[in-house]
Amino acid sequence: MSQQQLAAFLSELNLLEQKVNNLVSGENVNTNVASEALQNLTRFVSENAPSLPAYELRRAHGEIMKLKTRILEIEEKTRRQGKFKFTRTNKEKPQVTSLLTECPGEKISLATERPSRGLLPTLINLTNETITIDSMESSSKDIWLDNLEKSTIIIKGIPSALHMTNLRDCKIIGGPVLTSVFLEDCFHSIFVVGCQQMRIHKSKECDFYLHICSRVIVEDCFACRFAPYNREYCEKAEEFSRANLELSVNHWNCIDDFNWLSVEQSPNWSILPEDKRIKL
Amino acid sequence: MVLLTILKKLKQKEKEMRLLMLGLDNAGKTTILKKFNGEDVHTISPTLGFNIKTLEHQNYQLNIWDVGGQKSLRSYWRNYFESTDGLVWVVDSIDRRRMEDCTKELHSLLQEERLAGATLLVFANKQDLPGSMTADEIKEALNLDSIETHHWRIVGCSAMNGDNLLSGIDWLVEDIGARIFTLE
Repeated sequence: MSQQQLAAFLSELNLLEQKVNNLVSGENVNTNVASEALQNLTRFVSENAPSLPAYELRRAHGEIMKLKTRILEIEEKTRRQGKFKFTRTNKEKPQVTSLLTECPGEKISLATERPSRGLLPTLINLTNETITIDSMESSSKDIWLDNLEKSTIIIKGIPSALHMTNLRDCKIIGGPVLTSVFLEDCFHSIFVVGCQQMRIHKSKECDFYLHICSRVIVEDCFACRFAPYNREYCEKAEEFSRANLELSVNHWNCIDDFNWLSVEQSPNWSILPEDKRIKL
Repeated sequence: MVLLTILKKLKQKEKEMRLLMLGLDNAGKTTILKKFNGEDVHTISPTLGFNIKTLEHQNYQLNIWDVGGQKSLRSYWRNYFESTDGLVWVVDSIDRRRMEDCTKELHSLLQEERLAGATLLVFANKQDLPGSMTADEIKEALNLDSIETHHWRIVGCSAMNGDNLLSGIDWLVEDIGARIFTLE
């Protein structure tokens, strides 16, 4: 890159950085707009990365991380406000929670009785619960876990697919899923699962213990860590083979970050160090 | 007009059709393509860029483009619009949560000038799953009745077991054939 090109790049970079900066300062920040602007900035940097001096690249990456953290902080703050409200309503109506926890099976049969409504959440709005979904309830069905907090969900059997949205501080432990796992807006949670495909959207600080035969896709994620599936249970071999997953083929560390097109390691995910892995 | 005539003639000679398959991620686009082509559907990865398959069907040569549906890929969809004869919009019939997103993306595609002449086939996929919305319900949700600019049809199907894939593609091919290969 010539001096001239570098100057042009730097001024463009400056403009884009300024734009994101403006978007995240002040009250009433629209994090969606800011994230999009940041995405443009990230793309611009990764496109130019091969021809940039190491110092400029490092500085740009540092700036991106700073802005990303800022956006996440704002999102977290808004989420916390929402969370507080949610907990309070929950306390006012404790009956709703207990009803749901006592008979998760009934929720599922509800979904099958009304086939015309699309997928209904299998479990929704729970805090501090430990629930097992047994293989009768899960087999060949799509399971959807929505808005759970500080809960542990154990999934037995082989669901057709697994959807998880709005989970905070949760532990989701399962065997193989027949097709795909879809995850959105999850925070500080642990997932132990086997599957053919996995898509992770808008999630952060999550740990994954995976057995996957294709590749993992992450999009708008931050601080996600990956480890191989390490859970042993007696029907494991039989269940994995029924789900068409070969135990010898595991691409748990093949991760495609759609917000990081550069050849360098994405800053949004990492391998979970062996000494930090939990044993199940 | 002259250009159009030349294009028509060119296509007539080869009897070629270009189909573009789009939809949200996890809808089953690649599974439909592979199933239709008689390939194994248990080893498919989420699509990073696109897949293209050329196959013979009803004496036509179909060039089917299957483009990844991840959010960050959708802005690249427009790179595939050129000379598309048929648009196949694939819907995950069980994913009610993202149906609004799905509707928005479809209707913004229909505004595209370069897709103006294309026939639209909507595949309401995953009908084999308990709890999936019916084709009629998807039609309502996607507000298909409001479409006046394109020939369209919705077909409930299952890519996993192959149900109705053929009848959907048959209709699409016939509709396109009647439009571009017959004299007006």
